[in-house]
Amino acid sequence: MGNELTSNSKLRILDLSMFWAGAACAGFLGDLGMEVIKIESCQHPDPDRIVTQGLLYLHNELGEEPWNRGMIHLRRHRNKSGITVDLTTPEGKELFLRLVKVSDMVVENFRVGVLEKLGIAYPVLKKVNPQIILISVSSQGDTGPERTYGSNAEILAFTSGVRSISDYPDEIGLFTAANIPDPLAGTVAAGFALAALRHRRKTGKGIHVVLSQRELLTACIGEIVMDYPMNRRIPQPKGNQHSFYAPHGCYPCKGKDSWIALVARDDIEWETLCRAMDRPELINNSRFVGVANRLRHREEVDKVIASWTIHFEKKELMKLLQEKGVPASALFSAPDLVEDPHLKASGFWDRIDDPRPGFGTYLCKGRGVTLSKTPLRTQRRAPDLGEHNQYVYGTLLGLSEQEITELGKKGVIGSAPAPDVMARIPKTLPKARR
Amino acid sequence: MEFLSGVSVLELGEKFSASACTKWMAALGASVIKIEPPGQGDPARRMGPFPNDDPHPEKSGLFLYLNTGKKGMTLDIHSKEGQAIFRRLLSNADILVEDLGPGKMESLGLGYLELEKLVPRLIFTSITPFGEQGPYSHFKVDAIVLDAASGMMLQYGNPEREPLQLGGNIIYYRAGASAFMASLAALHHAEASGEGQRVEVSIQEILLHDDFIPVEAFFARGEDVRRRFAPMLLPCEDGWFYIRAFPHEWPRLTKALDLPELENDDRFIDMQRRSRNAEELNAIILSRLANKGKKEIYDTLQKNHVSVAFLANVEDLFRSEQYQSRGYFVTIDHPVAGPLTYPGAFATLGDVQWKHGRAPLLGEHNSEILCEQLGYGRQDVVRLRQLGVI
Repeated sequence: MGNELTSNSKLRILDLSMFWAGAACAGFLGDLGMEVIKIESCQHPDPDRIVTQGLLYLHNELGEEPWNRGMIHLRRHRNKSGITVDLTTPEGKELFLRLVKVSDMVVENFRVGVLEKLGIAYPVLKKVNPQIILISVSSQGDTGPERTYGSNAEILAFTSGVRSISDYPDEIGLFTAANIPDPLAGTVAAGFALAALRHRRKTGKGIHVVLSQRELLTACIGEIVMDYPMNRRIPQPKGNQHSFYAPHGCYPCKGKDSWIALVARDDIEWETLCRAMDRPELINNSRFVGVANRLRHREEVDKVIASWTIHFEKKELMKLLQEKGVPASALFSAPDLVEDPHLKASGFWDRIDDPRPGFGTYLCKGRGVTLSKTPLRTQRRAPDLGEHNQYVYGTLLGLSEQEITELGKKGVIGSAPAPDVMARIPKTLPKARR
Repeated sequence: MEFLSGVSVLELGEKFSASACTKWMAALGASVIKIEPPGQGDPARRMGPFPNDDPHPEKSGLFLYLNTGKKGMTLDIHSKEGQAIFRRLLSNADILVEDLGPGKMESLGLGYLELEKLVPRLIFTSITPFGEQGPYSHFKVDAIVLDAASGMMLQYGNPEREPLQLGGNIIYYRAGASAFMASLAALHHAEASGEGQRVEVSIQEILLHDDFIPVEAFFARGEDVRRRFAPMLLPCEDGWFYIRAFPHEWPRLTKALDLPELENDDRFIDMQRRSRNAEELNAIILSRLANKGKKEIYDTLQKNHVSVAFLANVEDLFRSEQYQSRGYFVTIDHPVAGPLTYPGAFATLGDVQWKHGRAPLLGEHNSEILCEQLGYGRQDVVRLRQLGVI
């Protein structure tokens, strides 16, 4: 025991996902040591290979095969092998079903109806392999009038209700941020996948789990949602205010777009803050004694604090306030985080060594979760398009060299994007800023 | 049989994330015992919303929602006797989930090293703001502080104004999701090998892990990506809608708007030109849609496979035909709070049930757990209560 592969190495996962949510789910299973095969096609490679968000390619170079250098791709598909197969062809579909036969799980995040259209819906998979587990990280679930609706993280933030409580009180923000929904869904789906594997061990039965990302996101504001049936109240955005605490918010520091977040949750933290600001007279000011008074005079409190914080550099102020015992943090930018001593000390960053020319050593974001006996390590870098065709079709399915060559000639498999896909790859990149 | 039938979970949760984690375990059939401090119980009990805005420790929407399907007992884990009971409870447990803060369990003599000796197959999951070790591990935090420290806050809001926190307690649910997944990964290993382990979740790292592109933009080009405008958030008759037209969706959008000539219009031929000429484009879109309702716009464009959203408030969720047809909202009765409507299952599990139970009253299952599970007598229970252990 003690080997991270002991309980996972025999399990094989087929990852049909595109973009993020399903890919994150399969990615965690790969991190745990399961064999994850990412399935793409030359006609439809993962879009993150082609129009990678922000045109982010490793070392800001397109190289000879740009589709293998997208930084989102390199992060998101660690610990996966990669094959290509055109599922719209009869040969492709047959190859996929042969793979299903020798696999334990399929993960997908297509629009509901796509698997049916391809002829590989759950009943078909089940016929081929009664023990197969299908994890669908869907947008809306596979029932209901909106089941075929699609989404991405930004859209889910709107339709789930999250956006309606995360805004300025005085402005419908013309802005966006797409963070939590996809990795949240991928994480929960990976948990469900592990639970479904347990269920199969106990019962011998496969299963189709369908997660609704929109419902999951609403579930994460559950108590706020309950205010409506309880009190007929439609919760409104409060900006950076808090219902019970004042001061609570972010305050400007020295420099452009430089801020500190801080909160005083009780009189002790408020007194500590007053002393830190060298304003002890505020402690006994009747307008600010007790949280109810501070909530009432919240704007005044905020002004006092902002006129003090503006004289400090944000990280220096974080250090000062934390030393005194006030909950506070600088608003970290990406450069701040990459340089941050805490994240360096905690071993967050994942260092990947790729000896191939033009790749070399690079850092990826880590996982935020540590398991002492079965550590989540990067055992293999993200796969090139079709990199493991030979292994999967030859070794795993037992196809002959000739058969594999034939499939390549027909365009069922391959290792380069189809010409029309290739045309969408950028020819030049923005210049690096350093 | 449910997914987690036969799995025993103990929860020491005071910061919402451990509660969210074990809530989902209970939904999948695990037996969860929530341990609260005697007297006031979980701090969530003092936070709303409350029915009729009337605060009551058994009627907190936050507590009731976070603790569905669990049994509850009170136990003073600071007392010797309480710790002894805790150890006996642990010997029957598969998973312990706690979010009391770094070093807290060690300081009580209940750290992993001690408990592992007692129960080698124990999975001991801790959720902490910044991890168990490192320069920030003992920082004082609240949600907004973690939002800032993870880099997320600087990505969210109007670029010309102060950055914004995410509303509610979302970041704690997010951390609970990682603890849920990682604990089940450890269970997967434990059931195969008999070996337990320590699972640690750092909220800062989880939120940073979720970051979309800023870190990669810095690695690739030294860019410092921050919050930005969304050009296509537009007003309509009864609210707002948002179009996120990906390049391949442009022809679908022009078709849905019944403006086919727009597809090859020079001003809007690619993403760059569409965002450069956003004002003109938005005016054209609004000329077609401004007098329509948000839900109608959402339905029309979605049916044409255009990525569109409407700004849904909480009332819209209850009106949603999609949520209604799937029975998303469920009514759960409770002896003190009465029947209330909760968000329910967010997944279907074939023929396996999603369990909807209610949250426990403070100390509701003390006698049952002490007497039936641990073999204490009725008099012991009275004595423990008098001593304030339960």
